[in-house]
Amino acid sequence: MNRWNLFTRGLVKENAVLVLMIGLCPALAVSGTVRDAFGMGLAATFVLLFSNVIISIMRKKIPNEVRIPVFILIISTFVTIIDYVMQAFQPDLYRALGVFVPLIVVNCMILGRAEAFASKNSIINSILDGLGVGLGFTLALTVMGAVREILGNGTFLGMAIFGEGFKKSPVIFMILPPGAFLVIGVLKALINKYVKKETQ
Amino acid sequence: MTSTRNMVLTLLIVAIVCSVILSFVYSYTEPLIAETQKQMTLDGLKQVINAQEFVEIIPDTLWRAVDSSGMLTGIVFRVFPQGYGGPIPITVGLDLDGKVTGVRVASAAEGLKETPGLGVKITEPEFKDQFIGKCGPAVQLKNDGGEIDAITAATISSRAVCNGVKKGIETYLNYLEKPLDKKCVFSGVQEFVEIIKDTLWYALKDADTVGIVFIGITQGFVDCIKFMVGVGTDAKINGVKILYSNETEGIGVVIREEEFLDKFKQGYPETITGATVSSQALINAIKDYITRYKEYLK
Amino acid sequence: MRELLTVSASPHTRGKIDISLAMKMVIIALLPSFIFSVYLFGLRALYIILISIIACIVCEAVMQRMLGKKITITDGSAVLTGLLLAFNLPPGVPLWLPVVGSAFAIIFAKQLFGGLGYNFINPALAGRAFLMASWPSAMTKEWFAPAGGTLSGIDGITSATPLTLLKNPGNYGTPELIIERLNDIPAIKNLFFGEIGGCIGETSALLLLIGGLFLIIIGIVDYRIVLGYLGSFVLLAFVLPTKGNLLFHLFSGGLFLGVFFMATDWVTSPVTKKGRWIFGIGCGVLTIIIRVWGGYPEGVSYSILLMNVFTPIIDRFTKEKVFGDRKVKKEVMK
Repeated sequence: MNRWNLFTRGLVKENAVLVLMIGLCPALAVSGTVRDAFGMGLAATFVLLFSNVIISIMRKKIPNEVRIPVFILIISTFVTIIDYVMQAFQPDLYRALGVFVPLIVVNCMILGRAEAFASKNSIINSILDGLGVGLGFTLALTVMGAVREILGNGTFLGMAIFGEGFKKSPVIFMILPPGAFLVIGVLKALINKYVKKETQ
Repeated sequence: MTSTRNMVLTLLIVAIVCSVILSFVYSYTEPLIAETQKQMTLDGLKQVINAQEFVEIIPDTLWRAVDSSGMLTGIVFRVFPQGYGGPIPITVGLDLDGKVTGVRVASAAEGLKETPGLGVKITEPEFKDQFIGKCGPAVQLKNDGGEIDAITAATISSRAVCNGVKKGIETYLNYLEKPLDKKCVFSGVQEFVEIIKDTLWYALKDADTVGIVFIGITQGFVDCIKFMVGVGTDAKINGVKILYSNETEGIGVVIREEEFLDKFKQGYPETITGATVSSQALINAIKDYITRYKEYLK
Repeated sequence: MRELLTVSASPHTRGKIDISLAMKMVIIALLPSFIFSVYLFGLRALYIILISIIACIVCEAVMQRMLGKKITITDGSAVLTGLLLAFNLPPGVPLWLPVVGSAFAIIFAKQLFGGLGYNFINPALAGRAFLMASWPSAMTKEWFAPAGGTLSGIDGITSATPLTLLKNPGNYGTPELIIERLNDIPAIKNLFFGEIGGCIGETSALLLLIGGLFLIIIGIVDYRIVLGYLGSFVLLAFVLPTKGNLLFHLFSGGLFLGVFFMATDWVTSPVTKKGRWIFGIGCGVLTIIIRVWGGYPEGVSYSILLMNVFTPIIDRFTKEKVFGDRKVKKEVMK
């Protein structure tokens, strides 16, 4: 597999949320607006990328028996860093994401990449993999956030786009929890129709 | 053996390195976090009252609002009345007359749990701006005898906001350090001439000095007591008013009552049983101040 | 002769009632309420019903075309969905609302799950729930007073339907007085005949009862669901500390509409006899729980939707034993 493929497969073909169906909890919970979704995606990408790098560097040093605790220590360190940084520089975003920032620690997407990929591959490959999967996650969340914010709140990044009239009475259903399930279901169906067909 | 030692060592080293990195990040971001949080609270407070600075009286609950020249402009308080889906975080500003200067209801992202599309309309200006300029009894729904229009189909949320604001006004009104009219302590006087800024005045009647009015401060049982006294040239007390006190609820507060304060006109009263410290402090302070300002009485 | 030789899976003996006929019968049973609603609320009700039905038919045709299926808009199921959805809307809603509700009902609740027979929840109720979540203010305040009556069914109160009044009597006057008048004979009479405000098709308990009994007699509606629902509802309305009396609870809100026409939907209710009892009882219990302790004044639609979701599980646990089958004991399994 060439390196370009390594990067792109995480974006769409093996998209964590829409194809592999992992990391669903933040995808459903914080995709109410584009800003929250994008912020969450970038935070997860940061953690994924750096934990992949560190784990890849240390992959030959870590004894097999304690690899999971070591992975979790490394991941949680990066999560705590992003937690502090976001709290200091993006307090609004931090408040909107709430408990889902610390919960990145237990996002199975990140531990999954550490275990399945970074602990077995070179640093360059792990960087590409982390970036691909992380950006794929960000992409999925942002698309969900965009659909839900536009329909459910009548805005995109806070700007009214269908006029004030629609903003006054939008499809509130979309920003409610069932709206998240509806959007993820429809996106999954579209992915199945157009992407899976390609691979077969 | 080596493998066990290896495992322990690896974990230990990783844990130590992680802790060191985290402590660096923490020491760098901690002051920034404190600063942003302070800024956010301040921004929230500024939305409900026009003021430059805020002095916290009760942590996270009550602030005194001060303008750029240091003059008191009002108070800001936070209340959490029970709404339809949970407590509603509300910030309210009051001006010196006890009128509402602004109401801010936290958004859904800040912890509001009302129904989207219905209850969350309490965050919109159409609803919350109704409160501006109203005081005490008017802060109720029209159905309940007040002047606030409820949001259609969201009566519970609307009523909760009204109750919260009303309760807050009742609770915190006495923190409004209102600059009392000096005539309250010296009746029949037409004019006051300031001798010491914000502290001492001559009371003039028909261009004659009939006495002085001063503001004094003393340590009460809990907090300081700030009071205003009018004294005639015959060294008799014309009136006493309490400007600020924070004495024990139900006991020390009796020093604010007219009944007790009026006794000063007939000479110094006895201390109040149960509030000895507060009342004794006030009596002693007034004695001291009158002695201190004696020369102005001539 | 050729028909006899057709080889197919069971069932081999088919009844005379097919889908199309059943749908027509249900629509006929709803006709009295339909006509009465136009009398009560005027042409506005007629417009909403027609718009809703047309939108359902169009969505059904478009979706079936897009999914490459046979277009079956003549079987009447889309018409029925449109009619039931409109019956569940307040008469004063903006005219685009039934269009959006119908689109959600047909596209998301019905066709995306495979069309008639595969939907797991009642499409009309799904449409209503979607509208309720999205435009709650339109769905809870656009009431019309009925011709010659008041919205509440009692004199002097024009701003609330009977169940809203029962839920928050304090908002409209002296609570004790209002509740007493709601439980009094004139109010109950208005509720029974339908001289009250409410959703378009839910007002007249009498006409819905007639339609429902007609469907039970011709065998389209299963009496087990109806009895289970009404039985558990009546029992709990009697036992629990509700503010209204038994007759008030029976005739108010959308109970009869839900019991006879929506809970009994063939597709979304269990197929086993025992399962239908459980389904009906569950609906009744949930309805009264929502009415007494819930946030909404009325609980019929949500209780039916909830029980719809439980239908596959109920079917699984009440599966009839196959003739000759015996329970295999675990010891034998070794």
